[in-house]
Amino acid sequence: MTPSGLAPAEQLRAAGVDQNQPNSNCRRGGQCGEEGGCGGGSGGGNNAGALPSTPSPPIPAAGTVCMKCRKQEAQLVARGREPMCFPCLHEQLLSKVRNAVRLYSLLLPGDQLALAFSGGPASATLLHFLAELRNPCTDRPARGKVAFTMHVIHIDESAAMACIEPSQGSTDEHAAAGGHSASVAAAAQLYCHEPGVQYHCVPLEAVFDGTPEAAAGQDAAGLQEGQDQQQSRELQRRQLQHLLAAVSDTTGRQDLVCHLRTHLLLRTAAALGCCRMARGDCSTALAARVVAAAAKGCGYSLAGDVRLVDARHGRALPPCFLPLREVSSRELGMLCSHLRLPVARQPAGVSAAGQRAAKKSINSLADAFIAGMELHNPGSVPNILNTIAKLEAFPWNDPTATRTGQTLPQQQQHGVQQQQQQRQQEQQQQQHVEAAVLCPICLAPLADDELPGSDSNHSSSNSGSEHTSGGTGAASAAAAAGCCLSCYCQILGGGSEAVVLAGSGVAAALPLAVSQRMASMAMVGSQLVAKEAKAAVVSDGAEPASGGVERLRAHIAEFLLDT
Amino acid sequence: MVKLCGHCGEQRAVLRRPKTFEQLCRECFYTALEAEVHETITAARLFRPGERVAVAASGGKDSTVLAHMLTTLNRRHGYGLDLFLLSIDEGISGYRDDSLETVKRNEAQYQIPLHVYSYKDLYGWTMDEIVSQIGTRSNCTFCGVFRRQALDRGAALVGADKIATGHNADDVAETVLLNIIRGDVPRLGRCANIITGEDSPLPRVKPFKYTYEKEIVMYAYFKRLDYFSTECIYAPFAARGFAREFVKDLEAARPRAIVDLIRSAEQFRVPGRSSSSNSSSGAKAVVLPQAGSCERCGYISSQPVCKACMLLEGLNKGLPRLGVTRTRKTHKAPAVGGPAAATAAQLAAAPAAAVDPAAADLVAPQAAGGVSTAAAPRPEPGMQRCRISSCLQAQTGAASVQQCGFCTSPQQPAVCCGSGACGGSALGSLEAGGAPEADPPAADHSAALAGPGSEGSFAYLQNKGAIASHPSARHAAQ
Repeated sequence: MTPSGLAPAEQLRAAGVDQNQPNSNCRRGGQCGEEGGCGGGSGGGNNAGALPSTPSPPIPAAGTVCMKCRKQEAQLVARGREPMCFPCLHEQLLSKVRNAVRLYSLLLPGDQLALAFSGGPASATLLHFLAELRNPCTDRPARGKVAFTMHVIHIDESAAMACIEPSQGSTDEHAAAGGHSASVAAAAQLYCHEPGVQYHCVPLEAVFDGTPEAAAGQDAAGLQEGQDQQQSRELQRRQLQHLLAAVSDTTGRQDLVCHLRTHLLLRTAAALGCCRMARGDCSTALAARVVAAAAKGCGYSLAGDVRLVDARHGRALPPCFLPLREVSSRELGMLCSHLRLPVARQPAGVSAAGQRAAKKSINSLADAFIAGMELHNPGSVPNILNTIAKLEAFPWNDPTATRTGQTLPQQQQHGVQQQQQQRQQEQQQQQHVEAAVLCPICLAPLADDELPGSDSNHSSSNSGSEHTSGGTGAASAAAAAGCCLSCYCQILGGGSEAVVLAGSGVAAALPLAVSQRMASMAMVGSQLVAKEAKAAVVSDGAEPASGGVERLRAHIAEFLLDT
Repeated sequence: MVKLCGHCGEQRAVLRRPKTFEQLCRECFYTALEAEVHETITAARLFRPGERVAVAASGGKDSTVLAHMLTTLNRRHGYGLDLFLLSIDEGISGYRDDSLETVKRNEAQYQIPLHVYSYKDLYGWTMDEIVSQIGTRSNCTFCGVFRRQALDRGAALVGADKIATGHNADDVAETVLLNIIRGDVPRLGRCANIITGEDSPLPRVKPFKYTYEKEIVMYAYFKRLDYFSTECIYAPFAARGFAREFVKDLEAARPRAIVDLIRSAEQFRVPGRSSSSNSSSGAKAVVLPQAGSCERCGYISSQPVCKACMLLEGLNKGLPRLGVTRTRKTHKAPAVGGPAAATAAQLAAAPAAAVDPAAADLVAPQAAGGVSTAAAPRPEPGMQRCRISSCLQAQTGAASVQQCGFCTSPQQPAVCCGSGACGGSALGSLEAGGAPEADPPAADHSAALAGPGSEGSFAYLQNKGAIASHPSARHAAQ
């Protein structure tokens, strides 16, 4: 298995592609997965966080035998005190991906799979694993492999970089960012020479495109209208920078970029006809995200964020899955540097200004917190994920809800026809998995008090005010704006009067699809309030309050489907 | 140019509110903070008129401001509360004795009565003595477990209806984080509740749940309140430190983050929480441990013997790490029942009111932080552990209760592991039915268990490799 990663890397170097030295691939020793882990799943994220430098991972004493195979000499200690050899680590991680995919039939022959690719260690490893699981010949089945088509999607965030990290000079910004996306392309290049694997690089400003198809097909068929395209891109680029500049909060800006990236990834994947999207989020990155989300008041939606399957969009957009969610960044970093997987260079070092910005950003604080916790108490990251896994998941997290009827692994050997039948069944089933009521900006499911029109139900039980945690005041203001409380506060700048004006600028500068959805969400609220009032008059207030929220959710989902 | 108060526009602004960044004058700050606390109290209906409320007073800033504010608001808004101060003397010289002086001055300043209960009275040990026994490593476990119970006992003795504690928003946010890291989902679900133990006779309330620590300090500073501001001498590196630092960083980045952490904890989809969570997702409700009462002291406990009794037993027997050290599970605790348990339950003339384990939420993470994970030697398979003394010489008697010979018949101490390690005569007589009728209800617990520890037996057991925790101790924190 080692040669499979090594050989193409050497090919590439021979071809003169500028690539990192094998040893410098992993710039932070074992911890390097961290950066790519966060951006890794998200296809192009560049973490602004400054991580404390960590000591090199312990190396097992000479003569220790791998605890897995008990044959080879142990070469690494990836977690706890388990000495292992590299083949066993590779096998262990690969089997995690394979099992997840098999158990829930996430990959079937003929599928179109999208992979969110940032170029970091996590996405590089996931790409490597998926390529290993892929059977390139559709006509000849291979044992343990699936013949699927893979679309590797990278979101080029060069336009947003200057806004997130003020430390970068504006002069070399273009060059640095261009260099980054080139190195990401080079990292993906290894696998994309095969016929069933395609690489797409979509600039983040494409989120302003009216038609997502144009964004997807841009790199393929953009030649004849090159000039036009160039101009509109430049316009969108400025639009994006204007939007980000309108967001006053550092964390809010980072999160907005992240949300836009997710929007664009999903849209692009849907436009390419993909039925699923794989993300490379590793456990370390997820734990940091959990802590950060908790500090942003997103406790309600957290339960759905770290599950294997995330089909919150129902049929509208492809479901995501996170096959690496139990793998730590340290393991990924080790494997990556051992296999010499091509990892994209992260643009720009962290400057003093960047460090100051990191102190202002909840995301980078959370990253640093998790890195420190991992150092002192290695069990804390799995602990955090276990905690969240024990919370009640959403119906759309159920992996069985999106899988085919009774597909079992042995039935996969049946003909393609049957697979297609099953796929149809699945699509029928998916209709029953209703889409959740999501915040149009961050795509998080709305908590009870954030639902538009919910204050009529809740006025008695939840009469807090601004200074408490949410309370009806802020939450209903957020509902009136048509988004969740967290986005309302950190992105729209609501909550304090001083920034309301700037906030309205943000709402206007958001991509059309998002702002439209926000408007309709806000409209639902007022309509439902009117409806409820009417119903209350008719039934003379005898309607029991229990189940009110359930009903409200159903109402809103129905309404949003109609519009 | 003098900056004027952003609220009244007349006075000079003297401070910037950490929570909202408003520039305020003194009076407007007081009004704003008091109004917030008043709103918290009325919105959550924390008190009912005529209730007798114990204000847990340590002499520190939070409890001093709490006492001040509750008396002020009680007078201003006519809550009709019968307030009094309740202090626990842990017996830490150089720390608690000084802070108690502060509380005594508070008593005079606020004109509300003060009651002090000491660890020495309740348990027979001061913290100084405990630390001299076990060192400074997991002493916070003892202090936390004892204080939680001591507050409840003290409040029950004085006939309080409620206990008000000075936990502020920062504390709650830290607890939320710690519970996420520890993976304790049931506790995560309730650690942010403003009232804990609502169904019990002695609920605890946190009127400062949304009040920032910084603002409390400012309030105390500007009002020149008399408070004591020294860290406990035994807890310089408490486990909360890491989370505390992170919360402070978060606050610096965005003041809202603290309240948002609390909001997150309130919104978590904890299984079994009666929110809109769709029950169709198949997650099972978290099974809470059945609340029973400790068979020795009658205090509420999920285990046959409560954590405090467990720790005391260790102290009294000279095995101070009993109940502190986590060990690998050796064998299941035998089902408790039979005559011995019954007599023990009768003997314990329950002095403390039953209090929901939820009351422990804010104490327990701190306590658990001190838990070390040193592995204890394993007993050989087949050996049974005595249910009472934890020695390895249990004999399965007719009552099918595993006890060693000493604990079954205290007349023959030689039967037990040969050393008398089972804790001396006091424990033996308690378990065997020697009734301490003469003892007053509050004192029997301490009197019965405060037997002399025997150093010799400790060494003996160490040699035998029999020092391990009681199986039930692992779950006692839950």
